[in-house]
Amino acid sequence: MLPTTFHPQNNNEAVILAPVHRVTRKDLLLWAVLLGIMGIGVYAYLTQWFTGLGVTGLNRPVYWGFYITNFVFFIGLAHSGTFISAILRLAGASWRTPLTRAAEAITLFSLPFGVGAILIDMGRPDRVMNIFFYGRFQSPLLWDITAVSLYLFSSIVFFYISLLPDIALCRDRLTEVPSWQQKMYKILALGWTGRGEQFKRLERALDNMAIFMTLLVVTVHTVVSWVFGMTVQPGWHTALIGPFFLVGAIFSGTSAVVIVLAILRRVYHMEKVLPVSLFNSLRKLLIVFTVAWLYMMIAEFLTTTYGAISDEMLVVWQKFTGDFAVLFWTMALTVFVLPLIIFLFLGKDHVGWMVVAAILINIGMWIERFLVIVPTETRPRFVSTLMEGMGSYHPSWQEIAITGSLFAGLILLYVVFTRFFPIVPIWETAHSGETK
Amino acid sequence: MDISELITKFFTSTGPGGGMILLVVSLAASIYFSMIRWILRGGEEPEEHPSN
Repeated sequence: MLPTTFHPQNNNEAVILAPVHRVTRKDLLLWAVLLGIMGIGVYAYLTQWFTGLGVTGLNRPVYWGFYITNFVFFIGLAHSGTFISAILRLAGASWRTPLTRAAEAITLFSLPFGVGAILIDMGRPDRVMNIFFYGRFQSPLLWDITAVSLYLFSSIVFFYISLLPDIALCRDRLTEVPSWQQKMYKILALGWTGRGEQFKRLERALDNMAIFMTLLVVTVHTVVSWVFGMTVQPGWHTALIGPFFLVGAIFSGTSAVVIVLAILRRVYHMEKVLPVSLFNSLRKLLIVFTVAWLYMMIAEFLTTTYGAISDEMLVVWQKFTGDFAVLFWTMALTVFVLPLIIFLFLGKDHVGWMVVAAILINIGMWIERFLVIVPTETRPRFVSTLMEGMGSYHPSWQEIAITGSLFAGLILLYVVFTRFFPIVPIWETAHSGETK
Repeated sequence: MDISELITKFFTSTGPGGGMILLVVSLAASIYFSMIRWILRGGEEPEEHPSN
């Protein structure tokens, strides 16, 4: 028999636990739709598996298209949780508490799809083992796998330990759920009893992990950028690429948090738990990120065009006026112009406008990732490799279907999670430190 | 073998990469395991340094 367990008193406990009580028919329908989209992706991948990468639009010299765009994008999204939870924890921003878990869940569920995108791109995923057997320290791919593995593992632990008191609460409060679910809570709670010393140690562990996670968030996306930066290709071989990737990652990740929070707020009737003031705080952060992103963009293009090295300029003109101009200017509009207008003039106290801006930013940031990768590959530095009919990229239906399935997978994991665990931390948002 | 040659060999030899990944992840695993155990044992044992 479990010893008596203490839980911090939270007046909003019933509201937060309400989605966890039951799985509705609407949920099952949504899960089925998402699984259906994933099924199409699996079918597309199987055609690629049996036929080879020839079914994709990838060809010399464009080796990385949608798949690696997805990799960079998902890893970027994953920075939301660490940013909100770890960095704001270190900064002592107490307003962050209701949204930490929602943000961390994005991290946790994005990372596997980022890693999966690399395996899909490989054509022969079994060859990933070569990194383990033959990996050299000079290879940025080795650094990448090390950094992302550690980040994924650390994110799971960071997420799990902050969830422990709430799992124990589910174990003790949700007695009417199916027995397998009760068993799951019992196992996952690890015998948590809510002693004062446990809470103290948990807070200390989270504080210390936050420092480590902050270091990880910087290194992971910098290392991801080095996969590009360590080559001598135009547009990639710049020291700016690390900070540029990092700013973009935190920008798109924080925007994703806005979208998720707004949906949770609406669907689960959490208006009181996730007040408009939260969105106003995020709005201020996002204004900073929007301007920071523009600064990085200007810094990159100013440096490149000032030097005007011919190889570099080929890629720049591809973006400004060439094959990728429509995408480039769409990106500028959706990542900078429209969101900034919305944040400055429409977003304050209006969740709907914030969501519009956040969606625009994420569409734009996906395009931005694409534009970092593909234009350089169509105009590589060693032009001799650019044979007739090559140097262009048109994604096949398989790549589009697999991309769709990765997003569907992320959403599916997220919605399933919200039905089994409290998406707002109950113990962290408790109104008083007293236990009952 | 001079030091520069040794460093070059360290970076360019095939093989140690997997070892590094396993080392980093297993080191993290052992730290996290101990940390979680430490959290859960909070308040279980008598205080070693009672507060005044």
